Amino acid sequence: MTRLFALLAAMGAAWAVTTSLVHAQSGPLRIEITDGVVEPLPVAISPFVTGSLQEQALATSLVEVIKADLEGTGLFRSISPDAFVSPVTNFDSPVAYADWKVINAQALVTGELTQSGNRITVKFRLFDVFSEVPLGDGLSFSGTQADLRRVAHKVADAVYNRITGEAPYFDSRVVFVAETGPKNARQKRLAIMDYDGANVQNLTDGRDLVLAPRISRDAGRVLFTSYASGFPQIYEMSLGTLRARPLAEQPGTMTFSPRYSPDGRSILFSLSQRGNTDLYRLDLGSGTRTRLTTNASIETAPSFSPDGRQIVFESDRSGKPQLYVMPGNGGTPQRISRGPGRYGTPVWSPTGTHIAFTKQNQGRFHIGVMRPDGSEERLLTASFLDEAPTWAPNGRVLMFTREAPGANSAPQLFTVDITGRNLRPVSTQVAGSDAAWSPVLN
Amino acid sequence: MPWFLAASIALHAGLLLVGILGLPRFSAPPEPPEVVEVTLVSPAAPVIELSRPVPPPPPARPDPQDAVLAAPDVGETPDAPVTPPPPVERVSPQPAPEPLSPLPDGPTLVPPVTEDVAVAEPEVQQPEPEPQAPSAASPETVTEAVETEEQQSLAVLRSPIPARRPQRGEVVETVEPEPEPAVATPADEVPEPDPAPTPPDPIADAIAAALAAASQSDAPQSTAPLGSQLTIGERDALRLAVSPCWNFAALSTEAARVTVVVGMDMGLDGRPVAGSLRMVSHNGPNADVAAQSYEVARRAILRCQGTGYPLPADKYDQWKEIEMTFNPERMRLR
Repeated sequence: MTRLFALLAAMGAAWAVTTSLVHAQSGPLRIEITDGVVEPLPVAISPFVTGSLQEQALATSLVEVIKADLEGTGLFRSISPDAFVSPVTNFDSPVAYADWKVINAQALVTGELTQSGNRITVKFRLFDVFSEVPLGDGLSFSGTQADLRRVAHKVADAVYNRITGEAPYFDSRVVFVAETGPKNARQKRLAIMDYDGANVQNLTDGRDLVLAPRISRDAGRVLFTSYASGFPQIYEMSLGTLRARPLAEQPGTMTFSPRYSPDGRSILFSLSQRGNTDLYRLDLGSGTRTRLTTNASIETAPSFSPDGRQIVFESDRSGKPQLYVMPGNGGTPQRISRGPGRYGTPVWSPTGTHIAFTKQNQGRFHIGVMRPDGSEERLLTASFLDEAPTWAPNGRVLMFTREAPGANSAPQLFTVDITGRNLRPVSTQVAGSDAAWSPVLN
Repeated sequence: MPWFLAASIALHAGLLLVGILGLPRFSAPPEPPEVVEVTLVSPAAPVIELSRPVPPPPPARPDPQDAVLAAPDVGETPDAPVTPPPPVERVSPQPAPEPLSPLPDGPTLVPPVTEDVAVAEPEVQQPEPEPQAPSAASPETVTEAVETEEQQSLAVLRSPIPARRPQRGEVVETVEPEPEPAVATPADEVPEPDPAPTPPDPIADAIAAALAAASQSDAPQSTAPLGSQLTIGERDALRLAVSPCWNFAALSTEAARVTVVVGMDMGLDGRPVAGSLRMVSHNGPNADVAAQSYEVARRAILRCQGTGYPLPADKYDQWKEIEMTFNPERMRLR
């Protein structure tokens, strides 16, 4: 009986405690969401409004490029126009959000294309369907008819930027080495293309072996290594004239692995003399050359941080190739790669937050990224041969060279998101390697 | 002059020209990026609401701002000056900055969560992500790379195991009052021998369990009678209803690290009141990144509302105002 009373008393106390807590804690209901989904965002791109059949044909091509750009990121899925309840027929009409919610479109792109002679003008707007608000202001792009793909890239860039918050990258170009012929007699030409592999144009005729092109920040010049003299020698080519001039000439030396400084006024490169390879900096204006390393080991593949204050490079001073970071004017390097395997071809991201690299370990090649202090190393790819990463202008995507084993294999360019998702080949129509991604064009 | 003499002179002249000027180039310079002019378009038309008559489109460019932002006639706009030789320098001026028009319902910041509320809902108090200390040999997170390594990393990064429900035998310890501060025992005092451990008492355990359960921080948060509190199941139902619409895919890498708290007023139909969604707080590095996270969270709430969230109407007082914390930490590790 006593125990029964005790139990009742305790239950009463518990009720009292609960009640006191309840009275002490008023306010909104609080819920924490920790699980979500990662799936491409459904986007409806309404056919752009046009006034003639000719404009309609142009608009169709335009929308196809926009779709390809957005879907190519792996972040978006364009909804088939067959599902549209009420396609937009007037660019300035109010948006019937309910019709787009029904098909689960989370974003809506509307647009209009007009043509006047050889000029086209493209307007577009972007809407957040479920929030029923426009995302940013509408924009209008105009150019010649030949600019259609660029205009489409600009529209896609704006959509991508507004939805993801990432900087754009579609309206950019890539310089690379186009390779033709059998593996034992391959011709290599410098070539340039749109970021998506379209509009490939050769820059050299293939008579001389060329390697590792690097494009300047103004996208007007290209550094590369050529064997025209029989030895590796760095050259700079103007994309306006296609004329190339040798840089850092010095008898008895080999120069290679050049890369521009962020301001484009100087370059970093490797110079090999009497069996020793070190890093140098060359002022393009004055021709002044500064030696940055003095080790007996091989130092190569230098790359500036975006602010120009640091240089990441590859060195085998520890016995096998590893990555090091040193001040922009030289100085004591700090090793940042410490995992197993060999590290090479480091490239600082345009945002400064990561360094991409090639890693060889246990017979496999990887493209990876790490923080500039060496932390958070992540391997994004793995294959028989992956190498030579280059960053998209926004630092979110990497392009690299992949080659399969076999006598008849040829290198191909691939892209991968910095998250490791969305690995996909670049359609270059010819075999390609050693890509260098330009900044976004103005 | 015989015809063959004229032909010979012409051929020699051609050869001389080739010798002077060289053979034609194998490749022409790439087509320079053409000028692409960018202008702002007039503001979007107002929202059409199906339940109302469709309003006529607004008059063309009513905003005086448009006088400045209106697209110039292409034909009247001269091309950007061409500065030889790089063709890329011929591109048009940088597009005008695009000021983001403020969204109707946010984001706005309200005062941070008060302490007593935080006690009531410990889930809100997720530990801050630990700063990434530079590691000498950092672990590798492999994506395509090596599947076995990926599995290992996933195993390490699995979500934390929720705390077990208190067991009867354990609860006694958890609810035991803190031991009194040790008091110096006089030297001459002989401590009493410890009493023999008593066998576990099921009733005492039940009492302790009841007290422990009552003092758990998951207690309801309003002054409503106990019978009208939201149950754990009801709270989970709401959580599960929103989660499928919280889409991480299109978030920037920075925004994917931001925890954002979204506040909203709820209608009796279980749907957020239009325009009441607001950003209560965030831990993002700046407002722009936080706004991206907020937009994705807001989209999740609005997308999944359907005809109303599964909330008991008789407990409306409990959920008439909701604050949802969208914490991406677990998603980042996937």
